[in-house]
Amino acid sequence: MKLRRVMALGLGLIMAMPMGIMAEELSEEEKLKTYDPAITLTFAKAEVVTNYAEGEDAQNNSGYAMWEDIMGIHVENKILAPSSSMTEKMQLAIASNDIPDFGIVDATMMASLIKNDMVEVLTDEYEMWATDALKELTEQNNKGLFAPVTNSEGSYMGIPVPNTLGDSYPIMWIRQDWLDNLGLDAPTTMDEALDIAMKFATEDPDGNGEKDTYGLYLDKDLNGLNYIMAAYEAYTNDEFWVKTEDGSLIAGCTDEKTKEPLERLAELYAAGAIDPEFAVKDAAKEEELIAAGKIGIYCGLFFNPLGVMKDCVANIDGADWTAVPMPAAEGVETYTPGVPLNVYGYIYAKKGIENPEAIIVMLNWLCAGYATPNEDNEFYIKYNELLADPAIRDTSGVNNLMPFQMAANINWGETFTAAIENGDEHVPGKDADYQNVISTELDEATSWAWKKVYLEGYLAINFDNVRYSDYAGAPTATAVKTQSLLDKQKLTDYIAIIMGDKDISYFDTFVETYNSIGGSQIAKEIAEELGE
Amino acid sequence: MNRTNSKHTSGLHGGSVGSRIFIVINITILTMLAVMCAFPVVHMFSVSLSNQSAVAANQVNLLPVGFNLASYKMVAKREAFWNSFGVSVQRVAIGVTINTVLTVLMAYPLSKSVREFPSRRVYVWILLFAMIFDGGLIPNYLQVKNLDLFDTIWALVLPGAVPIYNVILVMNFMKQLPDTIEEAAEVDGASYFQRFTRIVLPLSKPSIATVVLFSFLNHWNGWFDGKIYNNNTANYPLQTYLQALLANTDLTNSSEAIENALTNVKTLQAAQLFLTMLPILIVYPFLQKYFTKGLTIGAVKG
Amino acid sequence: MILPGIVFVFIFKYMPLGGITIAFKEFLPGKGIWGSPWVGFENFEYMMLLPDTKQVMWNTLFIAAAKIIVNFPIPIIVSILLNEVRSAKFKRTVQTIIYLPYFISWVILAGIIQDLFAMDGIINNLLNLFGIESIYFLGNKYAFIGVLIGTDVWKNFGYNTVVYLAAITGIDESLYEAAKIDGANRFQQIMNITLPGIAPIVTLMLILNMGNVLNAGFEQIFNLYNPLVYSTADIIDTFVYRISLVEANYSLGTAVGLLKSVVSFILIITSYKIANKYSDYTVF
Repeated sequence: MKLRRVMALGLGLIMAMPMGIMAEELSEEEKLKTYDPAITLTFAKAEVVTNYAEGEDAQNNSGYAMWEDIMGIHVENKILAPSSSMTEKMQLAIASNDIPDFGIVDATMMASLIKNDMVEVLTDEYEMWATDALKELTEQNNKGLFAPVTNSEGSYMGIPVPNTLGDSYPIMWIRQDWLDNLGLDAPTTMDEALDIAMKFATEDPDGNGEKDTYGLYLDKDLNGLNYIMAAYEAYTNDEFWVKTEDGSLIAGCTDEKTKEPLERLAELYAAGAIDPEFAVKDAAKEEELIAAGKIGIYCGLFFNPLGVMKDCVANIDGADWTAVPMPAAEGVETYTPGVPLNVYGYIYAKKGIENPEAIIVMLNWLCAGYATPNEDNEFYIKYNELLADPAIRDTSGVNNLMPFQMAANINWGETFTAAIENGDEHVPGKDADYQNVISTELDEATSWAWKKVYLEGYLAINFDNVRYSDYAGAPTATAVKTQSLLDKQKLTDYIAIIMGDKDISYFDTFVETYNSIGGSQIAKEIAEELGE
Repeated sequence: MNRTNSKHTSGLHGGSVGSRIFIVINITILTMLAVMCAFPVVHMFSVSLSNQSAVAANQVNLLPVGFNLASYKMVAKREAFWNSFGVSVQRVAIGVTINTVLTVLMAYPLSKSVREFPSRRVYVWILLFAMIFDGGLIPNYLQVKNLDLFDTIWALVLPGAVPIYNVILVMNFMKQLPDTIEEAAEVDGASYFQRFTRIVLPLSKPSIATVVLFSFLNHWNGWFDGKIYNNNTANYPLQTYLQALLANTDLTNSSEAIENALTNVKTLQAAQLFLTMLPILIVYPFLQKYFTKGLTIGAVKG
Repeated sequence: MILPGIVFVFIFKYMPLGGITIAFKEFLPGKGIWGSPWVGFENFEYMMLLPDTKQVMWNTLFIAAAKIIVNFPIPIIVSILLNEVRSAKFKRTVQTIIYLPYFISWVILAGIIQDLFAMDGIINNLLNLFGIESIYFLGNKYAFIGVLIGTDVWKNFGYNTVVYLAAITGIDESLYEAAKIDGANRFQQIMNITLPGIAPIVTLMLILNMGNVLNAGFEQIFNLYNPLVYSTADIIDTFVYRISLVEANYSLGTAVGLLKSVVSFILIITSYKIANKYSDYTVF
């Protein structure tokens, strides 16, 4: 027995040797490398900051300086563009064969980079350099996050940069004061929730004697729709594929299961429980109605109270929102949201750069000092210094000054609740937010919002219960070409059905159109890819 | 050409009732048109000076409600705005100079007949084809890229260095100048270049003023090239900056969503729109007196 | 003297033309324009297969033609009205104001238009006053076309009067004197003298406009449109932009763009020829 194991090990060694993998084994400490002298890597940075602290800008700032101090990596913004035009900038960079040394891109862009042979294979660098902590994070859900960057030979053409599922896990926010006014209980099923939405529109929940309220939030991009759909086990997210009973894959939005919720929404719309103008208002515009106290149910995310709900509470006497775990439809056992792969994006290394392993080193540091924080880590200490700096806190915020971020699935709601019970003064890793939650100095609405976010919103999240698309690989050739057309088709036709321009039988026409303009072809390509 | 064109109506002073009604209706219609054209600009200006809640409640029409300068104070602190403003000013200064010099230099020889300028036809075709036929987005992009002009002011001024339509305009204007003056100068021994600088240029002032205005507008209002040819937002000209600001941003990121709620305030937007327009409002009345003349002679010779 | 200009024209107008070959290639950025493999007419065939292509072409023609038609009579009428004004000061003021929109960029105008035409914007409030229900101007695929045409006319009509006003100025004064002696009223003078007087220029402008039927206005539409109105308002230029830069199909984008360029070229040259034949018009 023992001998065989030794032999197997030996065999493994021999096989691995020629590939150079075993050439050196790095310790966990060595993997947190500081380059000396510092190396320079060019980068594509999405600009989100509108006001920097005095003397700082997108290139010269404390975040980038921290990167250079601690990792010995000087990040140089080769592309700096508003996030709305980032895709176009990267496409143009690809077209001219001049991409930055590294960048965080989405799966589609990754596919484009791979197809054009512009990125370095990172398998060896990853295996050799990634810390255990990083691997635990990136390889969550059975390496599910790697799907879009893994090529047909199983090599990693990039590395996922994990984000928390919290940023995509739906929560139902309901006007608690309206529930109280009408003597209603929080819903336990989606059907109850939609009934409540109807009552919010017809029974004058704000008691002003006018029919000027809407039950349910919806906007022109149908934000929130996917969350409702999931209650019916329908998954209408963009690029979401579901396995049917016969094992074939179909686009979630063409599933028959979407018909029931669409019909329910059409009823709500016809009864005036959805803003009649939702189809022309973008989120910013539609949310004005929330601020004005005209909408009762918002299917969103944990941080929503910090946005317009806060204004709502400030504007309207007695207004209050409560977080309810998204309910499932009757007959569906548990609510399982369809979520996109929880990544900030995929990090690539440009083909031919001198230190491709530096990509992994950056991820290591970010993991150890930021995503799953270790209080002794240099990065963590420096990061927290900057976090406490009022000049930065009140302007750009330190997170936006880092080239990129990373996050783990930590239920901060539970952490904060426990910390408050213990009377803790600090919560490592999220201390700035914790300070806001326990602060007694913030104005009333803001303080309300912070508490709602962490002590209610976060608790409605269940990280263990999510569903990814049944195909999560890189978009196929046809998908790259037609996905935006398909998404557009879905949006237009769904809106037509919800608004009653078309009745539900039009759904079949939609499916036909969807399949003919690319849907079927993509399904075929996916089947081929999975078949291989 | 310069006779007052309403002269023939003067004879109708105190005319029939019908004509008086006509005058009233006419003035009413024209006044309404003028109001329609001015209203959006005035409205925006008023929005920029109003308080935010009045704007959100759509109370602002023609006059500011809750007059205040808060939005302008906020713009004053926006470095990105003034930075882009600077880029635009630089672009106009360099771009208009290059445009005008090249336009005038090309227009003069082309205004000569084939007899005096034998290869005129060839050049005309070269320009005509270039004016009408466009290589397209990607080829143009790659050319600018290959010349290494990205993120420089030159990417914004060199590709359009020769505004061919303007060349035509000035050329046509020069064509209709009486030949006799130049001929007289030639007899007096003035060289080709002297005739150009001393006689033709001063006489062509209206058409040159027109093309200066056009190229000013073109450079001040241009945004697409700024969007495509810059990899760094710091190099965005003002209109590109505004375009990015007005385009819907992706709100999937929580911090960005919050950021957006704070900055995309209507009054602030209006203030930036108005400030962007201001230089045009200032320059345009000065050039207007020339441009009607320069344009009509240059563009269409009856 | 002509040379510096020609050099720029060559570098920025003629050199990129080589890039057009990517319409007939599968453009692989790593290999560059010249190294990418030829694919013949494959991109054009795919273009014809895409259901959007036909829609986009139709939209382009429809919007451009509608703009030309609506844009046409208004400046003529306004110039005639302006010409009938006695007070030079009033006339100049009106002119100054109505030229103004022409000089404002579509970026700025889009910001204003989105505000004015919003569901709760001024235009809808005005309609409500007259008992008309609010219209989804920017989201309704038909109303949106109306907004495109309306705002385009609004932006350009003033400026377009310049040419006609000049033509009216050129009409021989004695014709009006003679008509007055014959007892012709104002309206008769307009119909019998002013209109025939500017007829040649009107015809010429119409012919020259023909060359524009593939230019539906990229800047305007790009800054105003949204997915809701793609079915009626997506035009060749916006389509090319999205294919090339959002979907990264550079070859297809260039192919569609090339088709437009060729057709436009033919149209414009034809209109010049016709203009030359009937009005003795020469561009150069």
